[in-house]
Amino acid sequence: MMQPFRLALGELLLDRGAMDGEEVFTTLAPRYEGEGFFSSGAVLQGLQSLAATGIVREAWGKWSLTRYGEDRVRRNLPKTRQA
Amino acid sequence: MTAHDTADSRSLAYMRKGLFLAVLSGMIFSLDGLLITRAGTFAPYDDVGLLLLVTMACAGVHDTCAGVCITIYNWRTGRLRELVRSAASRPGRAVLGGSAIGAALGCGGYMAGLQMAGPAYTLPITTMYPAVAALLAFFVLRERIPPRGWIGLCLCVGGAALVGYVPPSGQPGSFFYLGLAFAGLAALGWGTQGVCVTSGMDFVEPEIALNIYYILSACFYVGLAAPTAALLSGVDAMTFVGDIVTSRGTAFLALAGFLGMTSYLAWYKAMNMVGVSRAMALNISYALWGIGFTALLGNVEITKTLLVGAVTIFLGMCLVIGNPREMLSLRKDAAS
Repeated sequence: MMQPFRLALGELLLDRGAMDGEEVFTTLAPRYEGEGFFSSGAVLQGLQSLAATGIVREAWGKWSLTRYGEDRVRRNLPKTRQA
Repeated sequence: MTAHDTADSRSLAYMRKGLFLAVLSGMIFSLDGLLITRAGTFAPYDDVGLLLLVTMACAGVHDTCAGVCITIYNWRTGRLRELVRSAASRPGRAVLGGSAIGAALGCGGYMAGLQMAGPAYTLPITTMYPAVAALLAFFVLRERIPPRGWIGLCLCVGGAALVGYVPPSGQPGSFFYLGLAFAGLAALGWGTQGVCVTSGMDFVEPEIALNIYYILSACFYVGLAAPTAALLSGVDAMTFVGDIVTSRGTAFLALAGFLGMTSYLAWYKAMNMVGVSRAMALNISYALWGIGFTALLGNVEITKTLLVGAVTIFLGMCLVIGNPREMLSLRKDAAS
C-alpha cells in the first residue's frame, strides 16, 4: 500500500540510508507516475519540511534520517512495515 | 561558502517563508471576518432571534465553499490520490482526529459559550487558544520555545483579548458558569486541533490536511449542527435553506470561504514550517489587521483599548518572530 508522499520519503531513507535529492526523485518517480504534484521540486520541498521538524538532516548534499526521524517514520508506518 | 552553510541558508529562507505565511494567514483571516460580518447584514443571516441556527448555517456555507475550493485546488495540482491515501494512513488519522476535535469541541464550545455566557467573557477566553496550543506543543511535540517566544505569545493573546473585548451587558444567566466552561473547552479544542494536525503534517502535506479538515467540518455543520439548530429553533428547514440559496449574503459567505481557505492554507503551512506556537501567535494578529482594514473602511472608532491592544499585539509579534536562526531546530527531541 502506498504511503502519504512525505512518509514515503522517510520510508525510502529508512530502507536505503543517505541519498541525494536526485536519487530520491528517480527512485520514487515510477510510483507516482501520472500524479501531477510529483516533481523534483516537490521532493526537495518535502525533504526540507522533514528537515524543519528534525526528521531528516542534510549533509554534503545527502539526506538521511535522524535518530528521532527513524523513530517517527517507524511509528507512522503500517504495523506490517514497522519491524 | 561550504555545503553546510548553503544548507543552513536554505533552511533559514524556509523559516522566513514560514513566518511570512503565518503573518499573511492572520491578515487574510481578518478580511474573511469582515466578509462574514457583511454577510450577516442580509436576510436570513441578520435574524438575531435565530442566532444559533444562523451561526451554524453561516459556518456551514463558509466551510462548504472553502472545502470545494481546496478540493478543486488539490484536483488541479494532481493531489487527489494523495488525499485518499493520506486519509487512510496513520498520520492522516492524527489530522482527522485533530480536525474532528477542532470542529466539534472548538466551534461547538465557542457557540455554546456565546449563547450561555455572552461575548464579553467567551471572546477573551477563546482567544487563549494559541497559549493552550503552545503549552500542548511544548509537552506533546516537545517544541522549543525560547523565553522571549513565551512573552511574545502572551502579549499577542493579551492584545487580541483587549481588541476583541466587549463590555458585559445585563446580569449573567443561569447557565453562565457552564458557558465559561464551554468557552474554555473551545480554547482547548482549537489548541488540540493545532497540535494534532501539526503532528500529522510531519508526514501529510498541509494542502491535504486542510482538505480533510474542511470536508469534516462541512459535514459536521451541514449534516449535524445546522439541522439540530433548526430543530431546536422550530424552523422549517426547507424554507430556511431556500432563504439561504436566494440570499445575497450567501455570495459574501462564498467569497469569505475562498479567503478562509487561503488563510487556513497559509496557517497550516506555517504551523508545519515554523511550529505551532509561532504560527498561532502570528495568526492571532488577525485582530490587529482587522482594526486596520475596518479603519480603512471607516467603520470603527479607534478607542484607547483598541490602540493598546494593537500595540501589544505588534510588540508580541516582534518578540515571536525574533531571530529566525533560533528556529533551525524546532523540536527538543530532534536535536538529541
